[in-house]
Parts: sequence; structure tokens; C-alpha cells
Amino acid sequence: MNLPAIFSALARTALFCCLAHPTHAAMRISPTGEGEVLLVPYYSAIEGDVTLITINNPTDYVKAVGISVREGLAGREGLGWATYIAPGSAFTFGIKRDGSGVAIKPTNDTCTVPQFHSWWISMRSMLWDGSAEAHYEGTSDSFSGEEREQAGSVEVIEMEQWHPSESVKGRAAVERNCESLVQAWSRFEGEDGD
Amino acid sequence: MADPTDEALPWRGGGLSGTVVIESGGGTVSYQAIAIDGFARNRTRAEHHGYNSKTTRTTSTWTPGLARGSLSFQQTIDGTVITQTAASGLEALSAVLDSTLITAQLPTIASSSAPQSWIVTMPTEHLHTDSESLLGPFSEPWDSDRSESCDVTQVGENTTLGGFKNAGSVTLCASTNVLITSNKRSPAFASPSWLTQTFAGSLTEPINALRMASKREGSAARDRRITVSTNYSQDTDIVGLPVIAIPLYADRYGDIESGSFGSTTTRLLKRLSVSESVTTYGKSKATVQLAEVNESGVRVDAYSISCSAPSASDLTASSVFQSVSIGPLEPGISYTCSAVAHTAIGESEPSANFYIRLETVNTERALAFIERFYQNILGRASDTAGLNNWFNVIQTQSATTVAIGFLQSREFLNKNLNDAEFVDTLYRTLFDRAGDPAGTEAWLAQLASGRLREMVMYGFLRSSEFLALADSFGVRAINANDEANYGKRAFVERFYTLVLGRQPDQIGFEHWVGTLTSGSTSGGDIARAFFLSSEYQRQNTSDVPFVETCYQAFSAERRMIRACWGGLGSSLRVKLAQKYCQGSLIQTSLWRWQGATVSDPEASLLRPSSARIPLRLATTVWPHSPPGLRGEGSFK
Repeated sequence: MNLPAIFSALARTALFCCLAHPTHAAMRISPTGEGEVLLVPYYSAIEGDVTLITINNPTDYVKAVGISVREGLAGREGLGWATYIAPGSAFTFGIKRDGSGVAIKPTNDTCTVPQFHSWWISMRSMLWDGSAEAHYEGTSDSFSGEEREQAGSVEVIEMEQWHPSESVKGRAAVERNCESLVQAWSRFEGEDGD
Repeated sequence: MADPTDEALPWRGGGLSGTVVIESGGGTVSYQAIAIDGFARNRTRAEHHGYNSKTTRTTSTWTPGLARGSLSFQQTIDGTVITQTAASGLEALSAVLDSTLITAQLPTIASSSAPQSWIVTMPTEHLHTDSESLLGPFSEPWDSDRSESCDVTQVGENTTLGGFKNAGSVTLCASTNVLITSNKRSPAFASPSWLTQTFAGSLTEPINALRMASKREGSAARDRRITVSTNYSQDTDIVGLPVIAIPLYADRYGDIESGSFGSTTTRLLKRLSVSESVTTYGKSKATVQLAEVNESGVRVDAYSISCSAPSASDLTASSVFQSVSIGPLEPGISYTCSAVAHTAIGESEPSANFYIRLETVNTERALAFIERFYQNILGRASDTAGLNNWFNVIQTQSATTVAIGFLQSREFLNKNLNDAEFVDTLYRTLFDRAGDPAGTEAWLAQLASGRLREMVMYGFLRSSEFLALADSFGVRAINANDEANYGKRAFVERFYTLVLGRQPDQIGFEHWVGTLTSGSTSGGDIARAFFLSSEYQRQNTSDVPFVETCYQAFSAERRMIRACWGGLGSSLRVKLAQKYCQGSLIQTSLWRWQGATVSDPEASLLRPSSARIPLRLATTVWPHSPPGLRGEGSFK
């Protein structure tokens, strides 16, 4: 799909989605547990702990989300990426100890930017803004060891949505179409930040 | 090329939810992620909170994150949804997450020794503490040398009465914290030591509440505050800490369960304030009458008072009325108190501190003090019932109240003392000495001029000699209630002497004091009644003496005069007086005072010049014919 076609699809999508969804007057803690932003207050990767976090998209829309895993000491980003979640689908990833540090891996091969591969990715090895080190590295913190990643929090922010009928990116296409994800969200043109 | 999303209709995202499962050696725990709805700031484009895709991105730089959300936010407090606006997306999200008191729903089987931990996470902390200027509700910026930014949280019990019973404090220094709160110090699950805090206090009940209203000791600002605008008041502070807290505990089978939690957030409505007006004392309690100023547009539901003293238990009390009784007070201890007004969406800022103290009364000396009254005033020994009654009065009220009770008793009045005998009785009883010639002569002259005996009594009772005498017997000479009673009488007497040029007659005096006390008339009402009375008009006062009388009558209420004459210089005041107070306009000018509603004429009659009531003819007929103003009919 060329860029003008994407623009056109986005504009039509915005029109469609706005007619279909109620207006939210202002930001609030959702009483139903559903919203644009998800705050996961705690993950644990200490000793043998494994944390599985599932982001559910029960809506009829494709969602583009940004996910940040933050270490628990200062809440600084240790790993971050973008992904699409198809309508009625979910994105699940695990967090566990890996050597002295902590590693993360989606439970399937969904496209992400930067791209997860088939192995566990250590925190502090990639950030989706293209930098290759965590935001607390290079600081003068007296405690900058990998241990500070063993527990922390996760934030998920919805970035964009569109209806599948308004895009070539259907459910299957979304989850497999890495090129469209890279094109839209990679910090660097044509790269996945890997 | 124009951005194709410019024509897009508002963004309508949302609907995502999250579940978390932690599998550990001790078992599995699961909980739901907290969802924020309506987060996108820019709803006229698909672009929002910096995460716009490259295809719709309009700037080359973007800073994704929680600080880029909507400035507008909603919270539901006691069923009322309030929409508020913060200065930044960061403050808005922090305000949404702000909690003053977090309470947990725990199973009844939980005990204080059952393994229990709390996850306490502050998702926006790093955005605040990375900059001194953004600290907001947090206590201190991130300290790289110590690798921490600490805040203090009280832990305790949320009682069935809705109060917070503080068991102690813990310091939380990480963004994500695990707080162990069980007597056996056993956590619900393992956690890294560098983010784990253990509450060291002794517990009798399971911890089911966390309170976070004050900053860490030593912090530049003591109170946690985020200032927001609401649709009720332009200036509202949200007090609390932006946290997500989840209680985790081991159930009877050893499985880890997550309890549900809720939070309350305190809003300080800056346009709502209360202050202490008058405090009276009972046997073991004090009743504080509060004054209120409310420009918040929100109805006050209740008032509360909190008192503390270094050597006594803290006290709290609340009432739906502005009169709040608090106790039990420890006699002889000074309590520092403050009051708060509560509404459905928050509360006023705490009042200025005031102090209450239930005086210690020595029974033997107090009884001796009262016995003197029997001997000197009634000329007889006390009877047991009477003595007990007055002892109760002197314990809970004052020596002045007792003295007035004796001096206005039927038994004393039936003695029909002449003025000299009356003054002598006052000297001997209230000063414990014979009258000196000059003083006696002065009091007798006042009585001869028609001054009421009641006012002469107050003259003695408010003197330093009587205060010293009461002190020597260890009893309270005078209290706020006595002062208020005297104030009303002096106010009325002043109008008689200065406006009408005579002493009050007993019936008229009692009428005006009675209506002031009951609140059926105000200071403004009395001013109008006296200045508009035919007794005053028959004096044919010219303009300048009229203004001078105004000044004299309201000398203690200078602002009232300024309200009348525009706060101008004296020469201009006279000119205005001459302009407005000629002939019948004297009456109409007085109607500038209308609208006075409380017994404090100084405050109630002060109006800003722009809000001054325009002159209009005084056509209102006084609803009744007040006694005591000679030749009076209706007041036109």
C-alpha cells in the first residue's frame, strides 16, 4: 500500500471509529478495567518467578500499542516495543530471570518493533526508540546493576486504531505483516530497531 | 501536503484490558491491570500523546509516555462525577491516580500474623522526581548517590467508623515497592530486597489501609498537593500520592490471593474555609462554634475538628452542624485543634490552629469561692443542692456565669438594695475588698445617670481585679460565652447612649439583647431601628452631627463607615454626607446598610465599592414595634 492510500484509509477509519464509539469526556480510571492505557503495577522475575502479561483487545478495531517494561527502582524503561493487536485478539509476553538479568519474550511470533525473535530478549538490549541501552544506563546511579530489573512495572499505551475493513491489514495480516508495522512505527525508516 | 488526518473526527480509542499472572515457587498470583480511559489529549486528530505513527507524525521528535495524556480528567467522589483540568498531562494522570487513603477488602479469616504484602507502585514517580520543578506530590528528587527517592506512608486500620487508626509509618524509596505488613514479618511472596520494606510496628489487626497525606519529614513542602481546576472551584488542591496498591495475602491453604482495593482522595477546596468562633466547655468536652466562608459552590455536608496534645490521645469529632462537640478532654491540658468542612467532592483546607483547654478545678477552693457568693450576695450559708449546682456551673462554665446568676437571682433582687449597697456588694464579692472612695463615687455616678446595674456588674466582672480573684481560687473567671454575652449588651447600650443620647431602659435593652442573641435581628437591623426611630428624628440632627454620630456609634466598626461613605477622606465624607443626608435623604442613605445579616456588623456590612447597594427609598415598614424607643410606632 502506498502512502496516500494509507492516509486515505486512516482518515476513513477515524471517521468510522468515531461514529461507532462513545465520547470519553476526560481521562479517568476505568471502572470496567478497559481503557487506552494499562498500568501493570508489578512483575516479578526474582529467582524462578515468571510473569505472564496479557493485553486483550476485545474491540472490533486493530490496535497499535506501545509497551514499556520498567525496572522497579526508578521506573526507568528497560525494554520497549510497539505491536499491533488484531480485533478479538491478545498479545501475551513473559518476563523471567535470564542469568543475572531479566529477559522478555512474546508467547507467539507476532510482529513487533523492534522485532522479538525466537529467543528471549534481555532487558537493556533494545528500546523501541532505536537506542540499544536502557534509560538508566549511563546514569550516575549508585545502584545500576541488572538486579534492579528483577521486579518492576509495565505500561501499555494505545497509539492508534482502525477498523479491519478499512485496511488491508486484517487480523492475520496485522499479526504477520511486519513490514507495515516497521513502516509505521520504527524509529528509523525501513528498520526494526533490532 | 496537508496532513490527511486533519479532517479526521475525534479519536475514540480504548477497550484494552490486561491480566497478569505471576508464577512463583510459592504459588501463583493473578490480578488485573489498571486501565485508564480517555487518555488521548488531542481528540481532533488521530495523533495523540506523542505516539503518532510515522505516517501521521508532524514533528521529527516525539516523546511517548504517560506524561502526554489529556489535561482534563474525571473522578467520582461519593457518587459525584467531577471534571477537572490540570496544567500538564503528567499532573492530570497523577491526579487521577492520587490517593489519600487506600483501603483493602480482606477476608475475615485474615489475621495480623497471616503473611501479607502490599504492592505499592507509583507509575508517574520518575516523571516527577527527575525534575525539582515537577516534584508535585512527591517528597524529594531522585538521588543518584543513594539510588532512591523516598516517601513516607502510614499503615494502619480503616475502622468501621470510617476513621484511620495509624499503626506506624514506613518509608518507600522505589518506584515499585513491596510492603510486608504482617506480625510474623512473613511476606506473601518473595521479592527483591531493594524494593521491599517491612512494617516494624506491633499489630493487633491486619493492616487494611494505607494513608498518604503528608510528605516525608524534612521535605520542603509538608503537604502533597496537585493544583487543578474544577467546575466547582477554580482553586482546588488534590492531596495524596499517585499510587497503585494491591494487597496480597496467603489464605488458609497457603495460596496467594490478591485483595481488592479502593481509594479516597482528599480535595482541598480553597474557596471554602472554616474558623473557630466561640468555644464553650462542658464537664469533659468542649463545644466549638465554627464560622464558615463558602464561595466554592459546593454544599457543606459536615464539619470536623481534630485536636492533639503531646501528652494526651488525639481527638476527632464531626457534626452536620457548625457547632461541634469534642471530648473527652484531659483537664488542664492544652489541645491544638483545627477544623475542616467536608463536601461531597472534597474538603476545605484546615483552619488556622486554635487551642482548647479544660481548666482543672480544685473542688475545695471552688466550693469556697461559691460560698463567698452565698455569704456576700445572699447573706446566708449555702444549701447543698444549690452549692452542687453552682459547682457544676463553675466547672463547666465560669465564675462570671456564677456571679451573674447570684446577682440576678430573685433572692438577691428581693433585697431591694440601694445603689450604694449594690456597689458595696460588688466590691466585697467580686474584688474582695471595700470600695475606694473614687471608684465607688464613679460607679454610683453611673448608676445615678441611669446605667443599668447589669452593665455595672459586667464592669466589675471584666476587670483585672476579678480575674485575679478567680485565679486565686483556681477557677476560670470568664469564658468566650461570657464575652459574647457582654459584647451584645455593650453593642445595644452603645446605640442608646450615642444615638439616642440616653441610658437604655430595662425593657428595651432586654428586647434588643434578646433579639440579637436569638438571631432574629442583626447589627444592621439595630442600627436602622435606632437611626430611623422617631425618637432620633425628633432630635432634628443636622447632617454633620449625624455623620459624627455614625462614626461614634460605629467607632469599632470603621469599615462599616467606609462602606457607607466610600472609604474617602474626611472632607469628602462630609461633602458626601451633606449630599446624601439632607432632609429625608438621611433615611435613605441609611439603607446602604441593609443586608447586614449577622451579629458582627463590622464584617457583614463591609461591601466592596463595586458591590455597594444603591440608594433607594426607605419604604419598608419595620415588622414590629420594638420596645424601648420612646414614642415609637412603625419604622419607616
